[in-house]
Amino acid sequence: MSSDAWQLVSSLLNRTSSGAPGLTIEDEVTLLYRELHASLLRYLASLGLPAAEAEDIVQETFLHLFEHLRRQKPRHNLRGWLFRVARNLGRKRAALLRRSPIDAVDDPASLRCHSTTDPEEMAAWNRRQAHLANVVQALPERDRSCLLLRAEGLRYREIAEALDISLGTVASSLARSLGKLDTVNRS
Amino acid sequence: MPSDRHLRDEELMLLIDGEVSAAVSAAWLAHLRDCSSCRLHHQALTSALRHFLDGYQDSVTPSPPPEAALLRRRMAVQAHPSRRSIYMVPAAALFLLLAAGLWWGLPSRSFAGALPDSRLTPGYARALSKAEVCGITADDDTRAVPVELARRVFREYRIDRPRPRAYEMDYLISPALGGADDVRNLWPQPYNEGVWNSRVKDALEDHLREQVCDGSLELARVQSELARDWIAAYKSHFHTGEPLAAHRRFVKDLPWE
Repeated sequence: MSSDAWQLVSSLLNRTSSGAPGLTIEDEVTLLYRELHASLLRYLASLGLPAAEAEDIVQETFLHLFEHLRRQKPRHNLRGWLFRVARNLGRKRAALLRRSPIDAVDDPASLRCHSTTDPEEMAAWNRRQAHLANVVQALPERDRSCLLLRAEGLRYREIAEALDISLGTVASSLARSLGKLDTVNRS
Repeated sequence: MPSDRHLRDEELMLLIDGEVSAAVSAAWLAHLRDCSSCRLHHQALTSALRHFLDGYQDSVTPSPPPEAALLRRRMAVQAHPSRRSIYMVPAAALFLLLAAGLWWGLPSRSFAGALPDSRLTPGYARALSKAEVCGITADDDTRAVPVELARRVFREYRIDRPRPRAYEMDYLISPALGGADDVRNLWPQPYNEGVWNSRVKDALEDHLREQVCDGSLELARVQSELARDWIAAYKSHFHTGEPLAAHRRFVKDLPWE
């Protein structure tokens, strides 16, 4: 993303009243979609959703945003709002999938790869990632979500909005998770 | 300022992530200089955070910006209520329509399904040129929808046990016009109910394909018309308010069983 585009997206995310001059609501939603698409997919994967379902939910989330902006609803903390909508839609879809397990065989959205071709480096990278994933996966859902949203670059007020918790709870949740990670790292 | 006590974990986190005011930050940093216990704890949390963020960033595969064409089309449909299907009317209005249908002795299914729910089925086309579309063979055109995909579409439409031969699992934009095998392009269309059924739509699609391939119509325009409202497209292209008699009896695709 160019620096101009990045500044524009940042201003949209931090805007509190009307939209950006010269942009339609469709343009605003498209810009935010391009910027936050990957982050939202990763977050939905952490809720256990298959890739195709996560992709659907991201689209739904931005259609909700489109309606939200068309109705001139508050624009403050849009990033936190988007993650909250995605979380709510994701949890509903996950519950539906548990009742209809046919779709659950889809590829997980969290599949990742590493660019190195050195086998030893690849093996070490895989071990580190598996270890990290196991520790994170063992965290309670709220702690895991706080940590992942922090890793995605959300500020505490955005995480609080996304998870519908207080700012203090975000801070204590992160401290608790990092304390566990620190213990594991030392061992 | 907690001069007489240690900083709590959440306070250390707020400090590490720059989530407190400059004045509070300065006071807490001063406390850290004097308190080795808090300083060690601060270092441990900072190190754990950095370690986690490094590992997380390392695991993230950079991806190109996503294609937003589908989202923009869905926004366009959402922005124009006249293009919405019956499923998108507010719940209260839907209740009234259902009640009216029962009062008149009509089966509720008879008015639902001639047009898809645009939220579930906005239409989705493959990136094909006109030449590629016109080179599609009859086998491609009439291929069956995979069973798992069809079941998924039924589930999305909340149809638990579809009656055999009651629906055609229909493409909103037909494969012969570049439509994709995608849940966003499929819906269970009543096969033989009402006047605007799948037989009529099949006749329209054949007509439109002929027009595209002989150069009378643009492929993109045809795809857009089908995605927006295929019944309106039929009325416009055949200059009629009702399906032509021959099209009501038209049989091309078999119902879903």
